[in-house]
Amino acid sequence: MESSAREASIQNQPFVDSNDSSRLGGGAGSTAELQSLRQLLLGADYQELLALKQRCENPNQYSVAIAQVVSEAIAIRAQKDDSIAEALGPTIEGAIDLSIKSNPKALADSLYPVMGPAIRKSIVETISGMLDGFNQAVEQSISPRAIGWRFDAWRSGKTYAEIVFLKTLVYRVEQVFLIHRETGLVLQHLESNDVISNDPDMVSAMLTAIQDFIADSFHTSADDKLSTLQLGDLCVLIEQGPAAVIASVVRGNVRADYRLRLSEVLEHCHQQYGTEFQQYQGDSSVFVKLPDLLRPCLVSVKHEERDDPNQRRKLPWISIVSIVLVVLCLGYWWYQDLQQKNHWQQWVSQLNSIPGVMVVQVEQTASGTLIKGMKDPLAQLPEPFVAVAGAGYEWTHFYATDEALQLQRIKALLPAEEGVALTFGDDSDSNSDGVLSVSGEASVEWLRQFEQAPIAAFGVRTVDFTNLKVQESNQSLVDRYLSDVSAVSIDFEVGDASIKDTQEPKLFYMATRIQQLQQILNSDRQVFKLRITGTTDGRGSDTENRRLGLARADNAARYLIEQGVVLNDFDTHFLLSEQESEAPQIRRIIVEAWVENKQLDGIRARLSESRVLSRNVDGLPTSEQESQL
Amino acid sequence: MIQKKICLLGAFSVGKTSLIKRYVDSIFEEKYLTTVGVKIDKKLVEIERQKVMMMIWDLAGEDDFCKLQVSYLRGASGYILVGDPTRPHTLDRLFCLHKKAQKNIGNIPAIIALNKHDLCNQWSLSFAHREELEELQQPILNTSAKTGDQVQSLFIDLATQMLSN
Repeated sequence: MESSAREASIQNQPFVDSNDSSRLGGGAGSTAELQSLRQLLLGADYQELLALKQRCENPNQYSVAIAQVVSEAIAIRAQKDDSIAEALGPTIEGAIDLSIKSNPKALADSLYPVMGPAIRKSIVETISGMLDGFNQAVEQSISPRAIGWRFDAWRSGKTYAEIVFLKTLVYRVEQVFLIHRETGLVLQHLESNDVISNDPDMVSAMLTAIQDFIADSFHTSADDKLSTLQLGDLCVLIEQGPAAVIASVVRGNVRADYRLRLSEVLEHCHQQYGTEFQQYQGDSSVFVKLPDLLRPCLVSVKHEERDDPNQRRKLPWISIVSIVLVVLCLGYWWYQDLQQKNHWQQWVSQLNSIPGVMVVQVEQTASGTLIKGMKDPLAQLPEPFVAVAGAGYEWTHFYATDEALQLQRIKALLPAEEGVALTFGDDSDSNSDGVLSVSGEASVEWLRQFEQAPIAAFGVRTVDFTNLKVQESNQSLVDRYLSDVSAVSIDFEVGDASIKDTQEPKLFYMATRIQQLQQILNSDRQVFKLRITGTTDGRGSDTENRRLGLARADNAARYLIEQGVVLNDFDTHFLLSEQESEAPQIRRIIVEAWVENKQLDGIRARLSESRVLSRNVDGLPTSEQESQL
Repeated sequence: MIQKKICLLGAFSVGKTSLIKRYVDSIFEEKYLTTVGVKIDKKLVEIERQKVMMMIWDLAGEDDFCKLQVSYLRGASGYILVGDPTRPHTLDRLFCLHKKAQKNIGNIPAIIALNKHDLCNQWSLSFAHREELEELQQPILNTSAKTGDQVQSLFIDLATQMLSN
């Protein structure tokens, strides 16, 4: 069954036979013969070969066959070399490009889950890089090691950069040239970040010229090529290729494996652009991949890397310490500033609390703090405060209405008086605004002067004397008592000399005052004098009236004596009325009281003594006697 | 931008370095400094909207004791032969150098500069020299590094030739 089916399929493929026939140039008969011959020669294998041929020539069948192994084949080849990646690279790039152009959203959606983490990672890396860079900068500028290096640079006369390089780097590739071997023209030039390179075109040409010069000058063999130029710690490594030369400018002690790298890079360049190098006519724009190819040659190897690769990611403690220090300094400065502000605020509020001081402005000047304000000349700045460090004062004088200061002014107006206390106003009681309280004991003289003082000009509205006791002097008391005594007048009924009950209190008051007066008087020098004159109205006879008037005066005197008044020196008189008046106010006694000094009145005193309680009827004995004296 | 290497060839003291100095730096110095080995300069020119960076190799002058090192000619796209007609033997040297160049780097654009044209009253070109110059079938320019005469044209003409080559 299987064999017959195979035959049928062969018969259905006439082109196989026709091809064979055309190739052999035979006719139909010879084709049949040839097939017979093949079958005779190959036997059963012939059919299998035909089937294999058919599979290869039929695209569908061939694709199916390849599909069985394609992924395995790729995997096996990928393990051997990078050719699959190189081959697929442009295709994949083209496919992605096409995909983005046709529908960018699809790719964006696919990339979405990786974009976020990638961006975050990039940011973290950037910040970390910045921190590392800062750390390195700090390390190279202010660390003790850097200061040591600067000293070395100064001592050795080298530049600081050279010293840093010597201390930190094993070697560093500063520039890489890819030079066209035939013309000496530069095909590509790369340089490290912080290297200042001179004209690479010229350098490239000169490097070529130098090679030619050496080769020509010293008759070397054609295969010998210049490979190294050395000047101090600078070294130019030259690697020769068939069409291009790679020249690497290295500072430091280059390691042996670096030259191997140069060779590999040069080989890659030739692989990529071998033909272009051969046909080079001066146009370098075609070599777009050269920078990437040459990049691996730009390396720098540090001491640390060589010693311990793990130290590359060490904690940037210098940065951290620097930042912490800066933060601490800022914090301290801020705290100090705040403290100082507080200090000045407190000081200003203290100043403002002093009566008669008003701070208007606080200025920070180069020489310190200047406080400007207004001050009453009477205001007292407490001593310890005046000496506040760094403070200057600029006062404008003004007249403060603070009660404490007004009180000072009031006190200055009045004579000093012990025992008198003045208080003006009371902060705790708003009702006492403008109330001047006078308390204690004051003399009458002082009080008189107080009443005359213009205290209203100092804001005094009311004076409170509630707690003031007025202390009168002896003289004023004597004067007052004398006038009190003299003011007493006792009225009588018509024709009657007896003291009425209603009039007794007056006499009693007079008796009391006389007794008080006598207590005050200095009994050695002063003597109290009293004259009581009785008067009558105009009715009745003069004789009767004379008797009545005298009786009234005597009665009053007697009453005083009965009250315990000791009267050493007094007179009683009568006075006739010259008018016919019947007015009740003229039926009375008139009292005159005075004080005399003893020395002057010694004689009269003695005379008076003999006339105590005598009845003088002529009415004017005293004036006569006085005139005799 | 494309780069081209050109060489200046000639006997000693014909003014190769002065021509380059005049062209590149626009200055002329009376002082004579002999070139040892090779000196390289560059100049960017624009020919028919094409920028060309010319790497100009100033080769040391040749005499009987000091031969031209032909390896310097390698890779050149053109060369300038400089002669000093005030000293006719420099033209003999010029012919000799031309042959040497052709032998080493083939038929590439070349241009002949008869320098020191400011001293043309002192020129002493024999008829034979003139004939031989014409036989070279190369453009000839009378240049003066001192006055700047034809110096620009010298380099521009060569560059144009190189581009069209």
